[in-house]
Order: sequence, then structure tokens, then C-alpha cells
Amino acid sequence: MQPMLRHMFLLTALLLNASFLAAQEAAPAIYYPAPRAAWSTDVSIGLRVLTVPRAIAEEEINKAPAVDVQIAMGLPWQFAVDGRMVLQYVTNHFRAGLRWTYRFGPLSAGIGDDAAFWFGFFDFEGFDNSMSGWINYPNLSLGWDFGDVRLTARGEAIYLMSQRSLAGENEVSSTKNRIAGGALTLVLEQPFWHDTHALLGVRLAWTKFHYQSWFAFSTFDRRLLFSELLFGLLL
Amino acid sequence: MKYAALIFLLMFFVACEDEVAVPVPEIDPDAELAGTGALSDAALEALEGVYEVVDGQSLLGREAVVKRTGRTVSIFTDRDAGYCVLSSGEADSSILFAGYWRKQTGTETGVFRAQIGAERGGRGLLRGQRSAAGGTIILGDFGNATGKGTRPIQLVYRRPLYSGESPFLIVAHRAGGRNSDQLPASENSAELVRLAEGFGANGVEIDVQLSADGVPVIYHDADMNLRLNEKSGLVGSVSDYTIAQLESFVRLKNGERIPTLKRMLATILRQTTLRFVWLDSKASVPVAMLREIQRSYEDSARILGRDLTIVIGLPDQAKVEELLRMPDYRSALVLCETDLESVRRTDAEIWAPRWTLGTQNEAVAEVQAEGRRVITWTLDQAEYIQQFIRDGRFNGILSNYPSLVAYYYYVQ
Amino acid sequence: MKAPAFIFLALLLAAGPAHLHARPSRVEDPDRPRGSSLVLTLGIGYARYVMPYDAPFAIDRNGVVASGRLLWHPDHRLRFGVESGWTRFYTYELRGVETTFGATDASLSLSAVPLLAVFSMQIHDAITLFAGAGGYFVRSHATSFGTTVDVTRFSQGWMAAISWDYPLTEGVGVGTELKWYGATEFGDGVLALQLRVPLAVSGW
Repeated sequence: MQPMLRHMFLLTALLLNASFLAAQEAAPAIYYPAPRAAWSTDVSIGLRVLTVPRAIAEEEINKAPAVDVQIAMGLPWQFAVDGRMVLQYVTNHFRAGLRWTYRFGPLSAGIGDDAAFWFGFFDFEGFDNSMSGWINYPNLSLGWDFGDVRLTARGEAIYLMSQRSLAGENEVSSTKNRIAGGALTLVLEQPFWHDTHALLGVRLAWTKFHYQSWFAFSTFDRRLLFSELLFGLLL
Repeated sequence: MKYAALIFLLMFFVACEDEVAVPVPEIDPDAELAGTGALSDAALEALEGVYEVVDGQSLLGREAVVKRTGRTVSIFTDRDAGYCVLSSGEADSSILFAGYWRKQTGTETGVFRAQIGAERGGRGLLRGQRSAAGGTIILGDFGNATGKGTRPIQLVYRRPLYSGESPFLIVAHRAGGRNSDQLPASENSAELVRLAEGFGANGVEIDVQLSADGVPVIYHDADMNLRLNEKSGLVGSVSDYTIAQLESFVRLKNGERIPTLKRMLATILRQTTLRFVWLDSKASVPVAMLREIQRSYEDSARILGRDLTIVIGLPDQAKVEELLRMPDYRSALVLCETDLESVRRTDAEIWAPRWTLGTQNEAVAEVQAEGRRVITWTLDQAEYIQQFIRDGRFNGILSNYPSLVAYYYYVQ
Repeated sequence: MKAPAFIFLALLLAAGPAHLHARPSRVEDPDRPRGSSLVLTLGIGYARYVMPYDAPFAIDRNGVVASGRLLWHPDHRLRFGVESGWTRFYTYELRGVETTFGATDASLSLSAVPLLAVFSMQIHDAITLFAGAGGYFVRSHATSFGTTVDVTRFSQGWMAAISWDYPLTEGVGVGTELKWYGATEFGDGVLALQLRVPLAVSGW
């Protein structure tokens, strides 16, 4: 057999194997990167609470709860798409990505790339500001299935693509692409009550810029730790 | 089920703040310049100017501002909000400099040594003669905090500093800057206010609160916290404690005591050449009390022949109304942060709108036409500082980065 | 903080031996109780202040901790509830502190009342993990120049714990708990070892 054909055969076998595993998979999950049955969809609604580093927040708002809506949908060939909205009125973040996943026993892995657009505005007394930007998050996930509980670790880079801010009539914009930092998310997905599943996790981002702290107009050229607690119910 | 334990363990790790420490550069300028003579005022002023950076662009960019800053000489650049604070001395018709540099948006710092040789402009400067373009050359080097890894510096004089029709106020926030920028002294301390001129400021803003026994003290946050002070076990605000209790238990982030307003003003008056003080009055401190202290230190400044303006900041409508209840409120110099109506009702000397509202050129011109000045606060982003100086009409800017304001103002 | 290294180590440890217990995802534990219950746990013990305190004097890091926790045990592994109690963080006494008003003796005691939302997971018949978020009402009791002042403020914070229980009767047990209370906003935290008594107060 030609090497090319052999590789294609092996690849097809692997994909079929994973698809078979995916078809067995029924417990809902957003983060756990096992192959999903094509077009099967899971949705979660929850809250994320970000702790803005003291260097930026000072004594102002340093805990900022946001509504977190996530959706994951399986595609053929072990691909999946997912989307996430993080809504907080003054700051909103919309993210969508494509991922390829693979399962080997209880271990699952996924590699993907997400693009996000975010915007924020402050037009209260003494403020007339807005900011928006595009961020790219190349990411890698690793998950372990313990039976009724799944643990997933997702690492991602935070790549700032463009940014634009307004103060009154004054505007500053930047299209300089740069890696601002990275983030690691650890999530448990498990049954909570009757058939309702919950996700519980933490996201640690070491970054020079976090979109949820845009209103601080941070000047620091150093990476700071932004920690986020995640809680959601899988519908 | 170790995984769950580890997840839970993470939960208290995530609460830890990763504080950075900026090393103290290993240089003693007084020792380095021992045996040299002090520069005259004329010589210090003659060397001021905009210099082309021939060597050392990684530190100072392509153009740098050299400015006399009280008892020191500073160099300002737009690169990473960088600056050098230098002591100076003269020997054999040359001018010698020694001090430190810092990139304030990051944590880099180090030692800086330079000189202007007698034939490279030193002799003329010492006679108080300003050189022509290219006539003054500063040569030296800069290294890391331990003085190692030195790289050469060469600055060539190009033009005089920009000077507007009226003096531009470069006001340092919290007596010089905020703790998160890891300055050599704590924010709102008497130790920091002595350094503020070196950072480029000609004025300072300080935050006044009242202790439980009625003493005005300088502290920013509503409650004491680890951002501002060392761990002490005291929770609550400075207003919950007497000044004696605060002195017994509390030290600021770099070990200083919380200063009283009187101590702070005495330091500004006697140990700096700052010419503007903005007293940001927090809720607990009565405006009438600030007025008394303002009057007292205005008198002291007059006696000492010091050009010092002290203004009482009115941050909100409650403070505006409190001032208006005073019978002689028109005699007080006040700075009003609220709307234009309040500015006129209080007959404020200064209107101080937030920078977040933009340059507001029409409103600023209207207020200036009434004989008032306008200072915007607290502007830290380099792009906006440049834009507000270039496109705005402000009489001053309050910033945590006075060096950046100084750079963009003087290179115009 | 060496958090990235810690996290990767955590992942390695988690993913290593744990796979021996891995099961297909749809298999349910046949022994798991199907109903819900409310469980009140009372605990008392020793607390040791474990956070750094950078000062030129010594503090007394030893204290007492008492706590009460009410948890809803649904029909799965994850449980949810609230916890409160009292703990001492630390005390210290100073002799001859110099101030601009002269020298004084000074003393301080710092204590806290936690108020936390708690998740827990039983990981073995007798062993349970807990993690909570919320905060602490932290109280300073300070004396100097012969005057005492008490001030209380709320600090955001966390808790984490692991417990071991031995059942005595149908609804009552006894056990021990190793617990971390952290008032992170104020930089204070204790590691506590408690004797605990879980009581099933309601079931359905």
C-alpha cells in the first residue's frame, strides 16, 4: 500500500473509531473535548466572577459577575463548533470557535481556535467612553472522564488583533497584533440534581490586557493574574 | 479523586496577588559626585532642552527632554513612560550626572551615569550660556539595577523646551504616583512628594481624610488595605482611628507613617519647589477645616517667598454645598470637579473634568474666558496624553505619569 | 506565585493514578442514595494563622475556630450549602511603640466570622471535599495609649476543606476536618483542624 493511502486508511479508522465513541457519549458537556455526535447540541447558562488584579482595580470594582451562555455542537469528522456570550452590560464578549476532538478511553483531547469580538461602554456621569476589539484564542483541551465526573483543562493563548477606544470625541485605535498572555481553564462537569448537570471551574489568565477590565485603561506593560470562577447549569 | 482536591486547592491560590518588586538601583549619587561643586541655577536652566538620542534609543527613544526638576535633573522619554532622575555636579569645567532610570509601565530600572565635557558644551553651560543646536553633547552609559550590562548614551542638544503663554501644570497624582507603579516611596507619603519633581511634576494632588480625633491625614482609599499599607491588623477606615492609634499600628507600603496634612504641606513648602497643591477632600474632612489650613500655609508660603498655590478640591455636589454654606467661601481657592454651574456658583479658580469626557474644547474655552483654569484628571495613557496636549486647551493634566506629560508638553 | 507550574503538577497528579477508577460515562453508582437531605455539621478546633506577616515583631498565630455548615445533599455527588462560624486570626502585643505623641504599649487581636457558600463532594464513603466562596466579617480589637477600639469590615474570601467521618447512628456521625479559611482581600488565612459532628436534620 502506498504510504499516502496507508495514512488515509489509518486516519479514517481513527476517525470512525472516535465517531463510534462519540455516538456512545450522551452526558452533556461544554468543555470536555470528547467527539460529539454530529449536530448534537449542549447549552449551558451560568455566571462567571472575575477578580480584577488589585494593581488595576485599586479600591473600585474588583469583582465583576457576568452572565455566561455557552453552546457546543458536534459536526461530522469529530469536529465541533462552540460559541460563548459573556454579558455584563458595560462589557460584552462574543466568541465562536472550531475544534477537532479525539477520544482514547477516558482521555479526550481537542485542538481549536476561537475568535472573539468584545465591546464595552460607559456613559454615566463623568464618563463618555467606549472600547471594542477583536481577540483570537488558539486553544488546546485535555479532558479525563471519571465516570460521572469529567475534568477538563483548556490552555489558550490570548492574541490581541485590534482595539479601538473613545473618550468623548477623542479616539485611539490600534491594529498591532500581539500576544497579551495566556489562560488556563479547569472545569468539572458532572450531574448535580436529577438530570441537571453542572459545570464548576476556574480560569486563570496571565495577561497584559483583559477585556473585562477595559474601563481601567491600564497602562501596565506586564502580565497580571486575572482569576475567574465559573459556575453553570447544563440544560 | 485527587483531581477534585486539586481543583479546590486551586481556589485559594487564585486569590493570591502576584506583586512585582522593582529593585533599587545600586548607586549613591552623592558618593559618585563627591568632590564636585553644585551647579548654578543658570547652568541648570541652560542645559534644559530637547535632545536627539544618538546612542541609547532602547532607553530613551529617538528624542528626549532634559529638564531641571527642583534639586535634580531629569530626562523624559515617551518610551515605556521612561525617565532618568539625576544628581549633578561640576568639576574641571565639565558637568557630571549620576542617578537612576526607570521604565514606569514595566518594572525595569537601573543606574545612569553621564557627563558633558568642557569642550562638548560644559564650559558654556557652566557660564549659563545656552548652546546652539548640536553644541551640547551628553555622553555616558546606563546599566541594570546592579550597574552591569552597561550600554552607551549619547544625547545631542537640538532645541529649547516648549513654553506656552502660561505655565502648564503637570500635577502628580497622590503626591507622585500610585503604588502599583512600584515607586521608591509609598503613594500619598511625605517621602514621595520629595521625589515628585524628579518625575516631571510641578504640582501634586493629595487625598485628605479625617482621623477619629479630627486630624486631617493623607490617605486615598475609603478603607485601609494591603494596596496602601503593610499588614497591621487594623481594618476599617482612617476615620475609625485616632492619629495616635494610626501611628501606633499602621505603616504605609514602604514603611512610612501616614502623614498628617500639615506635615505634608510643610514638606512641600520647605523641601520642594512644587508650585501647586490640590487637596482632594474626601467625605470625612470638613471644607472649613481645609480652608483654615490652606490660609495658614498660603501665609507661610508668602513669608518664605514661595510661589505656591493650594486649592481645595470639591469632588462632588455635597462638598460644593458644604463650601457654599461657608460665609467667606469666595476667599478660598477651590477646584471644582463637578459641572460648570457649580464651578460658577463656587467661583472656582479651577474646573477639573475627568479625562474620560474627552478634550471638550468648547466648554474649556468658555471656562477659560471667565478667567478660570482647567485641569483634566487622571490621564495616564500615553496616546491620550499626547492627543490631549496636542488637540486640547487644558491648563494642566493630573497624571500618575507626570514624566509622560512633561515629555509630550515640552517636545511640542 | 508559581501558579502555572502548580496547575500543571496538579493536572499530572490528577490524571495519573485516577484513571484506574475510570468508568464508562453512563454507568451510575448503584449504591448512591436517590433522595435529598439537609445535613448540619458543627465543628470546633485549633486554628493556625498561616499567612506571611512581615513585621519586626512576633505575632501569636494560634487560635480557636468554631463553625457550622448546612448542606443540601441532592441525589448526586455534588452538594451545596452555607457555612459560618468564628475564628481568631492572630494577636500581638507591642511595648514602647514610638509615635509623635510619645511611646505607648499597644495590642491587637484580629478575628473573623465567615459567611460562605460551599460546594462539597463525597469522594469516598468517609471522605468529603469542600470548597466555598464568600467572605469574612473581620474584626480588629486594638488598644494603644490606653484606649481600645473595635472595628469590623467585610473581606472577600474562600474556604477549602477535607473531612473524614465515622457514622455513629443513622443520622449522626463524628469526624475530623482539615480546613483553610482565607480572607483573601485582607491577606489573612488560617489552617484549622476541627472535631466535627454531622447531623442529618431533614430528608426527603
